[in-house]
Amino acid sequence: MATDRVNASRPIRLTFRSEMRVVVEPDDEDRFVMTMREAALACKQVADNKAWEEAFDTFLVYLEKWSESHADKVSAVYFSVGDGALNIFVCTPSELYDIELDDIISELDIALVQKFPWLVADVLQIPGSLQGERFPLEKAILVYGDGKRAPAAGPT
Amino acid sequence: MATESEHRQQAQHNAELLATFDHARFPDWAATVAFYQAVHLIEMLFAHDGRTPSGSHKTRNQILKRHYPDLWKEYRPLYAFSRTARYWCMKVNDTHVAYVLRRLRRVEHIVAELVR
Repeated sequence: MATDRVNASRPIRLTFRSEMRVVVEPDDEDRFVMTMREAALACKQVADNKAWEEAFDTFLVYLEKWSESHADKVSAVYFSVGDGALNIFVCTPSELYDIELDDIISELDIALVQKFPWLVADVLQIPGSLQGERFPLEKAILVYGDGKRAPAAGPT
Repeated sequence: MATESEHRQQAQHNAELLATFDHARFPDWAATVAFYQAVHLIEMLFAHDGRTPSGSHKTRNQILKRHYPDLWKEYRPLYAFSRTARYWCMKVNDTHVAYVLRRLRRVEHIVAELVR
C-alpha cells in the first residue's frame, strides 16, 4: 500500500517511443492490453480533440456576436457541413438579395480566416428564412435567431 | 490544365456571351456567366503568378481570401450571388444584374493591374 501511495503522488510517464505493454482497466472491467506508444497516442488524441472543441466553440461565439451586432440586417445564421467546407448561411429579413450586406459578409469572411486559420468555410447570404422546405434543417445548426425577424432589428 | 493565355481567351469568350443575350429576360444567367468570366480571370492570374490551377471553387476561394483579400472582396459577391441564384432559385432583378456587372468590372480591373 505504501508503494501505491508513492505511485499515486507521482505522474505516470507515457512515452511514444516505448513498446512496453500497458494494461487498461475500463469501468466494465473488460481489460485490454496495448503498447505504451498506443496509450500515449490515445492520450494525445483526447487532448487534441479537447483543443479542437474549444477552438470551435470560440468560432461559434464569434459568429453569434457578429450576428447580434448586425441584427438590423440578419434574421438568422446557420451552419452546415458541405463538401469539404463549412457552409455558413446568413439569412436576411427580406426575400430580396441585400446588396449592402455583401461587403459586410466579405469583411466577416476575411476576419474568420484571420482569426480561425483552420476554418474552411463559405459564407452565403440567403434572402428570407431557411425554414420551410428550402433546406433540410436537421442538417443545419442554428447559431443565431430563429428564422424570424430579430427583435433588435426593430419594425420591418 | 489551361495556360494563362487560354484562361484569358475563355474569359473573353464568356464576356462575348454575356453581351449577346437579354439580361432583363435572363438575369440569373447574366449573373452566372459573369461569375464564370471572373473564374477564368482568377485562374489566369493564378497561372501568371505560377500557382497550381485551383481546380475547385473551394480551393480557389481559400487561395483568394488568404493571398488576394482585396480581389476576394470583389469576387466573393459574384461567387455567392451566382451560387444562391443557381441553387436556391433566388429571384434576380435588373438592379442585381447591374450590381453583379459592377463587381465583375472591379475584378477585371484588379486582375489587369496584377498581371500587368
